[in-house]
Amino acid sequence: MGPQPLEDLVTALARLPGIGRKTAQRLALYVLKSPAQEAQALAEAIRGARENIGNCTRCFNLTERGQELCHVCRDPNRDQAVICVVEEASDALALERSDLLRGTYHVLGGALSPLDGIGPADLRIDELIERVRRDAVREVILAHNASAEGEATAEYIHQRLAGQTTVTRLARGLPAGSDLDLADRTTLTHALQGRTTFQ
Amino acid sequence: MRICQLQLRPFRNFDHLDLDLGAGGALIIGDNGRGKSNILEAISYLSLGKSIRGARDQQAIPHNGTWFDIRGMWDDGKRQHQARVFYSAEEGKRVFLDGAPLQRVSELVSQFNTVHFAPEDVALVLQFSAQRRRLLDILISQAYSTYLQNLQRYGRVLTQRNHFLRQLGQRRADAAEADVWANQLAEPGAAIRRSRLEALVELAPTLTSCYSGFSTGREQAGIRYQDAELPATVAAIPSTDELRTIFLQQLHAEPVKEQRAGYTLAGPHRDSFGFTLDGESAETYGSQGQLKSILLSWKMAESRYLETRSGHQPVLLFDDVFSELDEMRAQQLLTLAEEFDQVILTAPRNPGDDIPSHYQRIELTH
Ligand SMILES: [Zn+2]
Repeated sequence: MGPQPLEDLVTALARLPGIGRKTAQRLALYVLKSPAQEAQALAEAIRGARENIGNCTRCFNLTERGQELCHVCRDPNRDQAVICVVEEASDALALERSDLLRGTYHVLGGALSPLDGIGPADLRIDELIERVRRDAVREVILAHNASAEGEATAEYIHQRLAGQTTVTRLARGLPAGSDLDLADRTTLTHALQGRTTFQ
Repeated sequence: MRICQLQLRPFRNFDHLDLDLGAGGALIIGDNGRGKSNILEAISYLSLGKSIRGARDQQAIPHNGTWFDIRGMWDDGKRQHQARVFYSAEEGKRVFLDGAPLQRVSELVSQFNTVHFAPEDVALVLQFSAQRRRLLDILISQAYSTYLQNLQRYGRVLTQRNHFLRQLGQRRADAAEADVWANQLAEPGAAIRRSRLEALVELAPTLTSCYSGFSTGREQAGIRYQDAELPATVAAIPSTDELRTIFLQQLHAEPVKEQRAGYTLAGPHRDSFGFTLDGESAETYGSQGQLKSILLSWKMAESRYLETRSGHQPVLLFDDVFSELDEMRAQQLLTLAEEFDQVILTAPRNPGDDIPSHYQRIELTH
């Protein structure tokens, strides 16, 4: 046990995904050793990001506070009639980095998982269906993770959208169980180009 | 296949063990408590990535330690391969094949095949339906990596669907979501049933013929799945699509009962698979001797099945079979085992001439 403020920092860091207790300790000690301004800047960056980033009111992707719509939804060159549905904002970021999509996004905010108490009402599915109706959407591309939950969510959305628009899914370029936001550009290109009608 | 080297650093009661298993069969001799069974368990860890006894990884860590580390090298007739299974409570399980880390433990399965037999299997396997399913699942997973993927997907969806069933009373019912979890379950479920039926249809004739060798009587041994006779040939097995439809019907058959139970009532996780003698349930009516013969025949059928499916003979691991088997069955087993590349046996004391001299004797003394 170190001094309480150190313990608090370690505990807070260890709550971040992918950070174990050991790594949290290393990071905490690094922060303590670094110059005061550097640590201050980190704290400010965290606070700034938290305060100045909100959700796009149309697609729920991340956007700067004060902007109702994200940069994709604001862009007149993006095809508003094509929506790529993703689980998390990180998935949209990965697709955006690869610069492959001409359409827009819709961030569900997770996947169906009764184990975690997440049902359809906890995801932004009604909002998606509303968008499809309102904006005369031509194609909905389901870009879900290859997990059991991702597949179930995709099937559920497909059922709800049946007859309203064309629903496609990414080609099975993603290895089973893998996460979209960790896929490389080549994999994403193949997945997008090879997308198939959902059955 | 032949395993040539085994290193434990540590594993269960071994702090440090180096075994050179040479070219052929081996007989490991040691008093009870010396860890003979642990060596066979360690070898099967290299083929399954988990304990054949169904123990948790944590249990294989020595009492005063924080990890276990198993390394082995085998020869598949063309080249040598190395695998390593490491586990610590802190870091979890990590597996390596030929020096490279594998993303998933399941990628190790089907690389190095083993068939394990221990005397306690007779009681355990023949008493509990879940144990028989486990036996079958381990076998088919070694033959097809897709089978293990289907099992894992099925297990995950099953957990989700069971939670869904339990929440039905509490939140707004959503018929579309109910359909989704049933469909998601039916997909891997049908594939699992299809693979099991294929494997059993292939295994049954070997089981029957081995049994008639082991048994002194005239009764005929067979296999049943889901309390029905097996299809006569692979061609007679319903297609995966048909099995999917059948399974979906089962899933939709009793919604009220399922909701009340709070879990999925039908599916591969509850399917029964068992043995028969002249068509009657062997588990119910068989004598101890008959049951031993059935399990030995099943093990030989497993070995042949893996050989056919993978193109390599599995390594046979027989734990203390001679204390449980009578002279005749023991000799018959040895004779059948002669046809395999490598058999590793354990015994509490040197059985002398009962075991051929080409079995390398390894004594565990301290
Ligand atoms: Zn947006």
